[in-house]
Amino acid sequence: MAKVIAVTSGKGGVGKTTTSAAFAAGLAKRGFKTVVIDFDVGLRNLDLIMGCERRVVYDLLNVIHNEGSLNQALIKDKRLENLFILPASQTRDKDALNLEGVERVLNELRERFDYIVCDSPAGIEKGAIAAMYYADEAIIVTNPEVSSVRDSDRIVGMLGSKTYRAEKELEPVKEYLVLTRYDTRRVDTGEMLSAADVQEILAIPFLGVVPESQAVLEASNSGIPVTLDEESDAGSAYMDVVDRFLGEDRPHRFMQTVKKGFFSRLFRN
Amino acid sequence: MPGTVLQIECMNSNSIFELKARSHKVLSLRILKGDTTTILSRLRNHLGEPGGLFKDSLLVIDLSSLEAPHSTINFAALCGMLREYGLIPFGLHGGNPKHVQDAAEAGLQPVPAALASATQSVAPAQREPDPPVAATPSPEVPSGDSDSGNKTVAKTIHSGQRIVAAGDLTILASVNSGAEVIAGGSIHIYGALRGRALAGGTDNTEATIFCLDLEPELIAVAGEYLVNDEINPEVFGATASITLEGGELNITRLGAFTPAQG
Repeated sequence: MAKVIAVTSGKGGVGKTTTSAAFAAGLAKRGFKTVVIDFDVGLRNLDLIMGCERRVVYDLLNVIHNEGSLNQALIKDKRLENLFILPASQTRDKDALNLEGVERVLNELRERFDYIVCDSPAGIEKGAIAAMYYADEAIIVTNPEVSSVRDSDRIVGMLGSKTYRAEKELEPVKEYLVLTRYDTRRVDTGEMLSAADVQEILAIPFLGVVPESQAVLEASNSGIPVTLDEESDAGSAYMDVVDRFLGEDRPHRFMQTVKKGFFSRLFRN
Repeated sequence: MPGTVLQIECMNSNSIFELKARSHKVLSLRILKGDTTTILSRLRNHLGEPGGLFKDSLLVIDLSSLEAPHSTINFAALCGMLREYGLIPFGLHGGNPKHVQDAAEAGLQPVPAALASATQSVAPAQREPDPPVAATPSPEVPSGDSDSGNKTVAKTIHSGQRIVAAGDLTILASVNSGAEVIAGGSIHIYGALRGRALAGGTDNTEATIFCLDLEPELIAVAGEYLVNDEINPEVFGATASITLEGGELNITRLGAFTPAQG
């Protein structure tokens, strides 16, 4: 049974698109047929992060408005055979979205894919609601600081009321917390909230932290989802998140400051 | 007028009656235009299910803004429908002499403007009735959630959510920043209060707010309120109860409690 997973946050710039790309690529790496959809109409980034911006012909809105078929719009990833991307339109805006169209597209995708990852735009307006409305599960991407936590909290509230599952009183959307841009040294000094603090406020199941990392910018500059670089800290953290999501046990890493010994400081990395 | 309490008592040793004034919400149905049939069907949509939000509310029919001052109104049918919803129509404001006469036959008395003037409009009935948004924290609390009006919620109240109960409200988790819990009675929070808690509606001065970890944005009892800035920082983080004493909010520290993780 295909699952629709919304990647959302409320706050902008916390790592939704990075997480959508990394998570979808991670699922594909684990052998699942995955499609990742960009719901940020007019401000699309997913195609850049996935490295397919030079192959976009048709987009989600073309399919919704019957101006192109799903087959024409879906872009196959060149590196992972299980992974497809459905980009957003750049010339239109969120008003061109409608829930009936989204439902139709998702139903068609459910027949072909195991996982459908919906990259939500920031905010709580039409675009964000369209991305979360038909979700079965949701990943709430949060930075360990107060404004991001409050915005994520708002989103958690909305997942419980402004979704198809909530309105039809079905089993509620399963929510997961992913804490991105986690910097243990700033947590230690009290500048940033700890994972425990954030969990206490949001009170949703915790999938893991992704450390602040140079690898994220390098990956987005190259158009490679960061999970394809499993050597990097962020890449391996995201793979842990994917594995925990799939039910595997993975010890939490990147949550404690590593005390560097004399020699490692000598040979700085 | 809603919210005011007058005490006029006539008592002596030979008392055979007591005359007391009570405050009660009065709804105003201001009819602007349309024939009775249209009004009735629109009203049905607006009022929702019978026995809901408006049960036992007094109502005045206000014709002072009627577009066509001589349109006919079937008061018998109108009052019949209103009573179906548990409303108690008792008065008529405005209208021409024919309206007054027809209304009298349906049991409506002419009443002055003061009783008919609306202060807040009432939104159409929904599954979970929202009270009208108030500028100051003393919102109208709807009646009829259940027989007692008490409510228990076993989930965290997230930012942007608002929970309302006519009676007592018990939350078995935390109330997050940006969330509101509003009750006609007391509020019991078995977690942290980081948002707003408004107990006692507009006039229930006996109401109390309890929470395990006090870090509120705003607390209020019967309309008297304090914002976070106005509270002595010593009580933050404590288990506390908040009551109204002598017209002022009184915060009592009951101890300290660390909410369990997970």
